[in-house]
Amino acid sequence: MVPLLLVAVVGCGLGPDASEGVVPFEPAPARLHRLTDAQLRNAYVSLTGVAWTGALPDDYVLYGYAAVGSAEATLSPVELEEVEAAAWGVAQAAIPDAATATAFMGCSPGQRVDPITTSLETDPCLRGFVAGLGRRAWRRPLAGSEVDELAELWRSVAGSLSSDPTMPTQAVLALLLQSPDFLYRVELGEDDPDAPGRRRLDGFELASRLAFLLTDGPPDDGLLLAAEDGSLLEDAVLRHHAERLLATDAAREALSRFFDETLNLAELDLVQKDAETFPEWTPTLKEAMREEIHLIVEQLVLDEDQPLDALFTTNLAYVNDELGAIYGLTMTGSELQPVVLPERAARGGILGRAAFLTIESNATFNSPTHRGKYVRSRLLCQDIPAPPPGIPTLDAQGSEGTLRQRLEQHMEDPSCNGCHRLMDPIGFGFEHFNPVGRWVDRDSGYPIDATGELDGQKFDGAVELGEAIAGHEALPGCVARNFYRHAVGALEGESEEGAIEALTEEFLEGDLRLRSLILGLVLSEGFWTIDSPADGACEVEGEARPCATDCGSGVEFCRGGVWTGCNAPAPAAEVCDGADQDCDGTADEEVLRACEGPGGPGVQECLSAQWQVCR
Amino acid sequence: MKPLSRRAMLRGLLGGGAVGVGLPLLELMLSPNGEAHADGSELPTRFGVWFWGNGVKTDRWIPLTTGSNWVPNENMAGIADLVPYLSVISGCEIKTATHPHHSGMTGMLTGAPYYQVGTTRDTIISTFAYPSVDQDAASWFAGATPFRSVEIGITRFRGTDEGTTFEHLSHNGPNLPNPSEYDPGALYRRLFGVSSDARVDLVRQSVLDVVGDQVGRLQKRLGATDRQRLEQHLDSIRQLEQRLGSELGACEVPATEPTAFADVNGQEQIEPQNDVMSELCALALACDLTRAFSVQWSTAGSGVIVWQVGATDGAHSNSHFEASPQPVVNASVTFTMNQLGTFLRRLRDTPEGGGNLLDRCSILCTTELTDGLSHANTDFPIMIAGLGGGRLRGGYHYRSGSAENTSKAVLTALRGAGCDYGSYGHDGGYVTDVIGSVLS
Repeated sequence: MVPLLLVAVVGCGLGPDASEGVVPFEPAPARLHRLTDAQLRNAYVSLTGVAWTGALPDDYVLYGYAAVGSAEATLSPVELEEVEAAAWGVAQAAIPDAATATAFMGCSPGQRVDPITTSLETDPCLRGFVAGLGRRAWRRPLAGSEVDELAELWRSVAGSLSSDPTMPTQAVLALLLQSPDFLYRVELGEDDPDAPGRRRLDGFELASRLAFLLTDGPPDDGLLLAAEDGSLLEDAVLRHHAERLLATDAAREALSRFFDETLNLAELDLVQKDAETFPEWTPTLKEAMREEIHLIVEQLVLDEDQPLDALFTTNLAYVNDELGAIYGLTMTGSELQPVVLPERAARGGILGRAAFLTIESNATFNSPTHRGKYVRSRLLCQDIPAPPPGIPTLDAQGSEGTLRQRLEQHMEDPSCNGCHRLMDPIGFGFEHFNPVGRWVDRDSGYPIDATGELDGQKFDGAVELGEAIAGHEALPGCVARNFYRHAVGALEGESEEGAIEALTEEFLEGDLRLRSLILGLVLSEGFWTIDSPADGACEVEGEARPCATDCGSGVEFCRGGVWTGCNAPAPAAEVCDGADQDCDGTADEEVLRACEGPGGPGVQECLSAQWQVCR
Repeated sequence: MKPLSRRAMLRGLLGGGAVGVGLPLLELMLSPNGEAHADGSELPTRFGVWFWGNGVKTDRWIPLTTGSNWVPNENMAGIADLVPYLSVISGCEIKTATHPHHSGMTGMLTGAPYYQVGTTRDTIISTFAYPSVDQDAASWFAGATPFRSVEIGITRFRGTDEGTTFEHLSHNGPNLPNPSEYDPGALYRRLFGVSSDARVDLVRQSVLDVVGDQVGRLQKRLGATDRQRLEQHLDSIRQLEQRLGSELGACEVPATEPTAFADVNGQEQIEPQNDVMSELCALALACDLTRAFSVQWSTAGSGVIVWQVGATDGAHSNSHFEASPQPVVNASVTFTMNQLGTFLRRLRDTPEGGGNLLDRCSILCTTELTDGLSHANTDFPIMIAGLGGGRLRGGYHYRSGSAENTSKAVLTALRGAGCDYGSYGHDGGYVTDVIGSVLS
């Protein structure tokens, strides 16, 4: 962790390198994704109508997104207890008594069957209930053995306690909600018939990935049916469901959350401001700052479908009395109202709103470095590499002048300015806004200089900076990259750069509208393919899977934990016979042999199965 | 009179119901000299970690004298009464230091380098490569108590993007953190909440049993990393199952559940939080609910604002910005040492057997670097609190003259609790020796 100003860096570069697509596409590794807090709560409601308000495991945010962290997160003992308590809490709230239990099951086990020939486990009422609820809870059909296991639980609880169906029914629901198939998105994939050796998500896995991405909730019946009959694997059907989901309220919330994460809004809960210097910093002001961003994003992006770069130039704000005071506006009441900021506000787009300015600053003074760093790394995807180890930090002695002037003194140090010249000049554009986002004319009594430069584009103040960001050529690709990373739930690998480029193209062709980004992504192979669980490693002895070489396809087997014995025809060295042994599309290329010619020993070449003149 | 065991007393009280209560040790349960259980088994010892972030100013922290009855320096003047229970180990060095904060955190708590997950901004993302030392103790004591370990957090600042190393103290392995509990009410409920219906607990166990089978089946179909994640999931299931199946549950504690402390005038209520959490921890130990615990008073690189001493910015920020001699940084360290004092006094003032809880603890008290400004990892500040049931002599300041491996101090703390591991750490942090002077 490095404070602003103070780390010497050697060789500051901007990455990542734009791949020219020479690395063939390979999808992200297959991983379990633990459902996020929002996804779990939505899933409880979706399945039972019960809104769980108790504790749940914290989301693990990695590379900016909980979706990425969810592929690493597990359940520690404390977290398991939270999940178990939630499962029982939901089950007890959903099924408080015998009457509800019977209604929940939709039938009474034991009725309408021959009690002599039908055991409780084979009771069609019980099995039907378990299979139906299980399919919705686990987002896929249950295997017979899984239905057996759940029916057996119902029976044993009913047998050991009483004939009252409340407890057994609660137990089945509580079990379903603690199962790994509920708590994680399981993505094992299936072989892609169109591309041997590649794996794609199966219909149910795709339905889950789509639903959780667009709504932070489980797939509904329509999606499950499309998964079941295989139609979801067709582009047109997938597109139809994506568009259908995008129109829901849940999608508004889920997409709003994506923007929250991209704008680091969660840091509002961690940032601390000195109470004496900023008495206006209250919990209600904080909430107003947060809610303002939601409302701006929802209006511009979700309702008005504006291009995403408009976020950086808009003069739309949402203010109440507290937040309005920060912006120099007199508002009444605590409800946030939309306003068009006057020109004198000089704030520019969303980065000129209090939330960003507050987050990216310190408790008592600004941080142009943090503000500039955010723009570089999160909006332009230009990362600044870690400093070499063992570099001592500099003593930040207070000196005369504005913060900018003091920072500029440090930037004269060649061991610091390599990276700081990439960040600070951007942050200076926001210097008129203090650590709670209020306009100030002066800093320590000196006039503020808010001029700067962004990769050749000069600006003065937040409005022009917003325009420079909106027009920056790296912005579309970076937005696409962020969304790709969030949607796939993994840090993008080098082999996915081509997919991200293609997505950026679609995004540009769609005039930077969110829809084009979402639909472009959902229909791209980056979204519905996965790598094998482990390269080369396999689990089930004797299991077979398709394999391929340049010369054709075949089958390989799992032996001793590794995939071996691919029986596809193997490429061989070319022979002068007119056939394409190495399967590269041409026959007899570069086949040479020694010969004895009229002028002595030489070499002859093969062409179309004929040996040529000996040279 | 026939001596009682804790469980026997319970069964008698509740007429054989399936609900259990873990009780503080009563005199009746002790051997006549009060130094063992009446049935001859030893009284338990506990291992703990008490951690604060951002280091110290060594010229005001390191004790003024070495050897027995060390004289506190400025930072610890307020806890002079605890010197008999405290040993200081100074002059040691983290041998695996490569990156500020990250190396010190993992170097102390795992005796090893960190595991780098990636990079962010101008720094790295890391996690622990191995289980943390509190889990080493938890493994040693496994099965003896309803809770394998308890993790407590005091100040709420948490890093956001440098990986689990900056967010959590206790880990079971890479990216397998045991999050600390920051809400006193939630901690109270977890430790002392009793289920109202024993039948429900039986069904809960059955359900957990089936879930465990399901997780096991899924595990077989996954790659190595996911298998490890699910192994942790299984472990967590087993721990809860074990607790449900044991007859120890709630403890006889004050009936009122504590509530979380909201900020007052934007200021974090650190002292009341520390008071309550210290009390809950003491109760958990006294009731033998766990023998391995950790208190993360502040995280590595913490941004906690110690407003009580006039700080207006986070501790990490101050450590880099405040002009020499850094009076606010120093005052914050003194404040933190006093917070440690509050915690230790709570243990000292809890009677147990013929003595007190602190007599039977060995608590590693440390931070993730020596000095926040310089990011140094030499002359590392380390203490061991408690007498470890007689294994620790207390009141001794050992100062290494040869920059010994800090892992020796950690291994010493483990041994002090009776966790007789032969070694601690890995790679450059691996040791088999201890600091003999602080052991009895």
